[in-house]
Amino acid sequence: MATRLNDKITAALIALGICLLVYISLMSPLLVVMIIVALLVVLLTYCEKTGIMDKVLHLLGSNTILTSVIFGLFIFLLPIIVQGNNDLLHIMIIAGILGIVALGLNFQIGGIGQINFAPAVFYGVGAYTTAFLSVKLGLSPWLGTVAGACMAIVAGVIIGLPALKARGYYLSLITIALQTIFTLMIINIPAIGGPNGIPGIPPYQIFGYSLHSSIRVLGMRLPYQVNYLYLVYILLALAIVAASRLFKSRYGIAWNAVDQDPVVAATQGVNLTKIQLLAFCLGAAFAGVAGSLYAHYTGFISNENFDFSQSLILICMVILGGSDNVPGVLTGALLLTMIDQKLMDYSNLRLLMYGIVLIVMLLVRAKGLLPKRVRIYDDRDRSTGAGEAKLAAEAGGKR
Amino acid sequence: MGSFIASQMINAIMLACTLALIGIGFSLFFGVMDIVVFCLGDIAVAGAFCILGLTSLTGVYAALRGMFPAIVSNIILVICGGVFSAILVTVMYRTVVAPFEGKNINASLLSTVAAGYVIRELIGIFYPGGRDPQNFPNLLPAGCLFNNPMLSWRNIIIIGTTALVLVLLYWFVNRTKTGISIQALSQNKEASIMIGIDWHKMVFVTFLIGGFLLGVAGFLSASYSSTLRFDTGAMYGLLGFSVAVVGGLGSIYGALAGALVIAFVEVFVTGFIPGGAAFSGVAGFLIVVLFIIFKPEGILGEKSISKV
Amino acid sequence: MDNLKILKTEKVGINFGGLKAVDSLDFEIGDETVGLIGPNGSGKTTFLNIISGIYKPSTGRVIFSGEELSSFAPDEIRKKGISRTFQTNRLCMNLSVIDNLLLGLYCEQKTNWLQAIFNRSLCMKEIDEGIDKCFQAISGFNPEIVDRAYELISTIPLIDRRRIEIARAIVGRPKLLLLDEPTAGLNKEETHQMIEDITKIRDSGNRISIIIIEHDMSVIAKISDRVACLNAGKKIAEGTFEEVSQSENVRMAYLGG
Repeated sequence: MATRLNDKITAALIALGICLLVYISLMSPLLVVMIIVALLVVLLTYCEKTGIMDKVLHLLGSNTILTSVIFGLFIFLLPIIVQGNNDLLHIMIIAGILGIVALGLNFQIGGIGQINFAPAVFYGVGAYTTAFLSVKLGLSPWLGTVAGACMAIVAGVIIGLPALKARGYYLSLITIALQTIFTLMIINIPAIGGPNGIPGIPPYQIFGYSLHSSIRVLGMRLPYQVNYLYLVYILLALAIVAASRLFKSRYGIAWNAVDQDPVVAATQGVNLTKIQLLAFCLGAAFAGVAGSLYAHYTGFISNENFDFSQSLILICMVILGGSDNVPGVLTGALLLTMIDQKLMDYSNLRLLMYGIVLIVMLLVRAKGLLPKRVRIYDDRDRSTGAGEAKLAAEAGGKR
Repeated sequence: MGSFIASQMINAIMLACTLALIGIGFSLFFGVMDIVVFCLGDIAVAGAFCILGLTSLTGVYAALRGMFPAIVSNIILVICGGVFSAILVTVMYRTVVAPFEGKNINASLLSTVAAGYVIRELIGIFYPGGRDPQNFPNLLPAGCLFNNPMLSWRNIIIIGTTALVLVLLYWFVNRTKTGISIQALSQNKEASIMIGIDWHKMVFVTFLIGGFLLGVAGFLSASYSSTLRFDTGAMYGLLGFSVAVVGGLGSIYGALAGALVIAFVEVFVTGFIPGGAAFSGVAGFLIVVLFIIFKPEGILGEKSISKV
Repeated sequence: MDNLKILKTEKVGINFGGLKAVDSLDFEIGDETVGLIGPNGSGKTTFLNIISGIYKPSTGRVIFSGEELSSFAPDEIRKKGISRTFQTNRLCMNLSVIDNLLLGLYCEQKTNWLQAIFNRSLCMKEIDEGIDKCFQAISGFNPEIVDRAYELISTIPLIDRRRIEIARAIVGRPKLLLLDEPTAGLNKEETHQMIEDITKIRDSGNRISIIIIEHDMSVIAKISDRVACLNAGKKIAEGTFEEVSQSENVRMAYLGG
C-alpha cells in the first residue's frame, strides 16, 4: 500500500514538473527555450540509457487519472497563471489545434508507417467548409464544425479509395500531388474567396454567449482566448483518448503489422485496403475538426494556411516528437508551435528551421524524442510459473 | 485561329522542353537509386541563381566579357551554373540520400522534400534580395529567325539544347561503357554489382551528368521567362516528378514523352477551355495521380514482378 | 478417418512469365497431415502461396470446404479458416511477442474501431481473453516464452520464433494449417522439439488439417499421414512415406539422372 502511495506521489510530481517546464518555456524568450530543449534532449537520452525513461513512462501510464487531472487543472488555471497574456494563450491554442491534426496524422505515419504529405488538405477542407457555411449561409458554427468534420471524412473516402490502391511509397507520391492540387484549387475557386480567403468567420456561441468575449474572474479581465483554450483542449482530450485506445486495440497492432509486413498482415486476416482507409479517414476526421476550430478561432482563413508547408510542419511534429505514440506527438506539436510562434522576429527562418529539424531528426533519431513503447496490457500476473518450475525440475534432476 | 493554335503549340513545346530536362534528371536518379529525389527542381533553380550571381552580383561576367567574345562568356557561365548544380547534387546526396540507402525509403523521400525547402530557403535568405523576383539577364541571343516572333533565337536554342541533350544522352547511355553500365545498374542492381560494375562510381557519374543537366535546365527556364524566383524550384520539382512518372520513372525518353503529355494538357486547358488558366496545373497533377494509381510504370516504363 | 476432403485443388497452375511454377496440380487433403516434399524450386511454396491467396492461379481451381477460393484476397482466405507460416519466419520485428500472437486473433475478434474508442471495457475484455488464448497456445510449446511476452522479437531465439509463428497461426483455430519448412535452420535437438510441438497440434483434439513442407525427411516421416512429392511444379508421387521414398521418380528428382 505504501508503495502505491509513493508511486502516486512520484507520478504527480513528474506531471507537475512537466507542467512547470511548459510554463517556463512559454514565458521565456526563444533562446532560453532552445537551451531548455537542448537540455531536455540530453536528459531524455540519459534517462533512456539508464532505463529511467521506462520507469517514468510506466509510472505515468499506470496513474492516468491522476496525471490527467493534473494536466487538466494546469490548462484550466493557465490563463490565470500567465496573467491573461493572450499571446501565450494563443500559442497553447494553436498547439492544441495542430496537436489534434498531428494525432490524426500519426495513425498513418506512426501506425502504418506511411508518409501522408497532405494533412493540410483535410485541415483545409474542415476549415473552408465551416467558414463557407457560417459566412455565406449563416449556419451555426457548431453545425459548421460538424459539417467540416463530415466533409473531411467524405473527402478522405473519395480520395482514399482510389489512392490506397497504390502502396506505400507510391501512395506518398500521390499525397504530394494531392496537396499540390488542393493548393492550386483553392486559390482559383471564387466561391470560397480565392486568394483573398474568407474573412469574417463568426465565433462559436453558447446560448447567445459568444466565445469571442472576454471573461472577468477574480478581478482580472481575461481575454477571449480563454474560452477557446478550454474548447480546444476538451476536444484534444477526446482526441487523445481515441488515439490511445486505438493504439492499444487490435487496430493498432494491425497497423503496425501492415507497416512491417503487409503480406503477413493479410494472411492473418487484415484487409489492407480497409485498415489503411481507416487510418486515412480517421486522420482526415481529426484534421477536419481541427480546421473548423481554427477557422472560428482566428476568424479568417486563406489558402496560405493550408499549403504544402503546413503539411510539412505537421509531419515534422510527428517525426520530431515521436511517431506512433500519443505523448510523443503531443510533445512535437507543443514544442514546434512554441518555437514557431517565438520565431516571429525571425519569421524568415521558419521554413528553413522545419526543413533542418526534419532532416536532422531523420538522420539522428528517426523514432523521435519520445520513442514509442511496447504495449503493456495489464498488471495481472499471467506468467505461468512454468519457467521457474522447469528450472527447479532441472536443478532437481541434476542432483 | 491558325496562328493561335500555332502559338499555343509553340508554348507547349517550349514548356515541354524545360520540363523534359528536369524530368530526365528525375528519371536518371530514379534509375540508379530507385528513389524519387524531390529537391531536383530547387537544384536547377540554384544553378540559375549561380549564373545570376556571377553576372549581377560579382564582376566575374564582366571580366569574362572583357576577355572573351559574348558567346564564349555565356557558355562558360552556363557551364559554371551546371557545375554548381552538380556539386550541389553531390552534397545533397551525401547528406540526405546516402544515409538512408536501402534502409528506409520513406525517410529518403521525406528528407529530399525537406532538402528542397532548405535549398529554397537558403537562397531566399542569403542571396541579396533573394525573396523578390529577380530579373534574369538575357544571355541568349535576341532576335528571330525570318523575323517570325515564334521562331525567336531563344526558342530555337531551347529546343535545340533539349534535342542535343537527348542525342548526347542516347549516345552516352548506349555507346559508352559508363553509360551502358548505368543502364545495367538501373535494370538490375545486384547483378550489375556482381559482374564488377562499380556502383558508387556510376552513381557519381550520374550525379555529375544529372546535376549539370539541371543547372542547364534552370538557366533555360529562367532565360525563357526572364525572371527568376527563389521558390520556383518547388513547382519545377513537382512538375519534373510528374513528367518522369507519366513517362516512366527511369526512362529518359519517357521523360520527354511525359513532358509532352503534361505540357500539351496544360496549354490545352489554358488555351481552349474557358476559365481554364486557373486549372491547368490541377489538370496536369490529376493526370499524374491517375497514372500512379492505374499505370505506375508510366508510358514507357516496364512493369516489374516482385517475388513474395 | 472420413472421406470428406477439406481442400481440393483441380489442375491448379501458375505461370511466371513463361515459367510454370506449378503445373496442373491435383491435390486433396482431409482430416490428416500431408507432407509436401520435392527439390528446391519444385513449386511447394508457390503452391502454398496459391492456397493462401497470395498468388492467383493462372489455371485450375482451389476448393475449400466446397467453396472456390481463387478470387479471394489473402485476408478473406484467412477468415475462411486457412492459416500459414512462412519459410523465412516472418514475425513483426516492431511488435512484442504478445502483439505478434494477438495478430493471429485479429480476424476472430469482433469489436470494431468504434467500440475500441467508445466501449473500452468490451474491447479490453476481448483482448484479455485473447491474451489468455495466446498464452495457452504458446505455453503448449514453451511456457518460458510467456514470461517474455513483452520483449521484442529480436531478443528471442530462432526456435522460439518459429514456435511463436506457429502459435500465431493456430491461436485462431484454423481448419487448415500450412507449415512452410518449420525446422529450417534448427539443429537436431531443436528439430526434435519442433516435431513434438507439431505432433501436439495434430493430436490436440481440434480438427485441423496440416500441409507441411519440409526438406528434413525425419520430420516428414514422423508427422505425416501421407506424403506428396513435387518436381518442376508437377506432382510426381503420392502415398505413404515408405511408398514415396521408394518411388523411382522421387529418387530421380532429388538425385538427378
